[in-house]
Amino acid sequence: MKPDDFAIQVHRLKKYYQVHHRPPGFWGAVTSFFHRKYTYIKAVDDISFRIRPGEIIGFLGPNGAGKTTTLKVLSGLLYPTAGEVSVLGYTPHRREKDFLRQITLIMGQKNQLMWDLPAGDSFLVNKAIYEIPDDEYERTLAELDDMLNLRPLLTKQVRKLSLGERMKCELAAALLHRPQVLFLDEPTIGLDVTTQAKIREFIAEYNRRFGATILLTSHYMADVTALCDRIIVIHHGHILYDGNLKNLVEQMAPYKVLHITFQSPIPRSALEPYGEVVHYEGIRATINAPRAEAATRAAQLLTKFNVADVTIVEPPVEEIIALLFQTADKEANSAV
Amino acid sequence: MEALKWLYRKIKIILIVHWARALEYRIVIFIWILASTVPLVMMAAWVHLSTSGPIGGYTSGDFIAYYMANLLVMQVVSTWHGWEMTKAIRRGELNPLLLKPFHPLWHFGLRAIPTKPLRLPIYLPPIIVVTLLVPGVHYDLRPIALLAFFAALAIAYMLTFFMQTAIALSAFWISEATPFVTIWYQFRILFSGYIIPLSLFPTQVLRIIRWLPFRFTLSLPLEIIVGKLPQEEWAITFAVAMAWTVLFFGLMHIIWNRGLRVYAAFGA
Repeated sequence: MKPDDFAIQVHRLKKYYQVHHRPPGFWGAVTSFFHRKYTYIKAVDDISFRIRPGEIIGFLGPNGAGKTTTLKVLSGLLYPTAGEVSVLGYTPHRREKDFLRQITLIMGQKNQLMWDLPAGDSFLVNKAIYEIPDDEYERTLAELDDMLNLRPLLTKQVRKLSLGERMKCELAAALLHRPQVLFLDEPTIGLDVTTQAKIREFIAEYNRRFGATILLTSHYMADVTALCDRIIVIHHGHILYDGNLKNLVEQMAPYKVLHITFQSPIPRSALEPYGEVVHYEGIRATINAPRAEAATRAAQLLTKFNVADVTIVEPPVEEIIALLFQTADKEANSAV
Repeated sequence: MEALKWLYRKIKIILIVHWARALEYRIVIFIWILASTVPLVMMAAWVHLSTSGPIGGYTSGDFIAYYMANLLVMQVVSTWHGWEMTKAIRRGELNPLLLKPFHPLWHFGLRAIPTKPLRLPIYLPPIIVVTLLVPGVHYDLRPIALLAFFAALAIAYMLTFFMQTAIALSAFWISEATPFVTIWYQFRILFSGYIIPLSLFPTQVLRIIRWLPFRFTLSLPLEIIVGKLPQEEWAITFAVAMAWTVLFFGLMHIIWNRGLRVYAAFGA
């Protein structure tokens, strides 16, 4: 690794694609044959950020926001249209061997393993390609086996593995060379909740053991809240937010959520002085109370009513992110 | 030295896994063997036509020698990675190869090699039997001719690979580049000596096609082993073959590097 304070530096990155549009159906195909309509998609439009070694960053955004495009530029798969990108001191699109030996890109539900052969064969190919000595390979495999329980899977053909088993093997194959930077594009997509939790634990453990820098995209907030202190939110190719997740929640949602269960039904009107009643079922209610007064209002409810249970939680992260997008869209529309 | 040691290991493991893949699909191998027996049909026709006398310097025995060797050489020098490559570029399947510190073209180049030892034992015995039993069937088996033959085989494989790759890489710019590979393949079938020995083409046509690269992808090794290329012409012929090989090698790399700049890495 060339000396640098930051593992990843992105400065005014732009990536534009030319896409042709074709109306559906027979006549659409015929007219498109003679006359093609092209538009430019600004997948990433002037983004900048820096990531320190060892950080785990959640990279969030709706479908088509530019997350995967950014990961592909950072891993060297795509040439940027404009801007500067540096990963571990290397320019990714030059695809130098020393750079490729230190990174990995794992895309959920995408195969890198050879479909017709046991996963162990793909591991041996990676061992040779990454020039991993025998003893180091055995040691790394043992550690990965310890974290993912791999041994029973290595002799089965990849096409006969379940999705969760295949994902574990994909992760292991991509990490045999102990990369220092991991780009994870929706690594838990389509997996059951138990396997998702195991993958999250594995990622956290890998970061702890090897100090790897991890940039993770996911639509599952559980991945982000479990792993990431810092998030970068991207929408329509622009960065909307880059910072601490907790700060974003406090900034976007100046309230906390009170979930109350009463011992007997309480009229809705009796709860309204305590905050915005967002859900009411007679003996259960959910109230959004101002952040600074949440504890006080909960205490008042406990005093005034016969309460069976009360919890104070942060607003769901999904709501916060959705609110952020809505706000950005409103501002964009009013600017037009 | 260390770099060579690792290169050897990489090539070895890639050959081993593609060998294992080839062994997974045994029926496919037999189907492909059956599908590549077109030269035998041509052989039957030319042997019949030449029973009353040589045609274009080829006796019946020469035709048998030519087409039997054709079967074998085609198995050695053929590669069909062009179609796989266009698909890989179009569907983003190139991505996993691009992420690794080993040039992706090695994977495409090595992929077809392990299937050859599976096919050659099927073709070789009939060729030996025919050579021994059928009168008039001769091969130039002098040591120098065999050396030239194997050198021509190596050039044929490399040139086929470089040409096919250069054409297939048009997929970086054209959504459906498979037809270009197919058109190239058709030209190769016509002008490589697969259908008929090149010397049987009309003189005006032969004047051009003997210098085209297709000749060196199949016809050159055949001409040497059946003794139809005079030894005094070997030097110039090999020089032209090498020139085409170097040209397409360079073209392949230029197109590859330019293509990566516009590669969209499809597949989110």
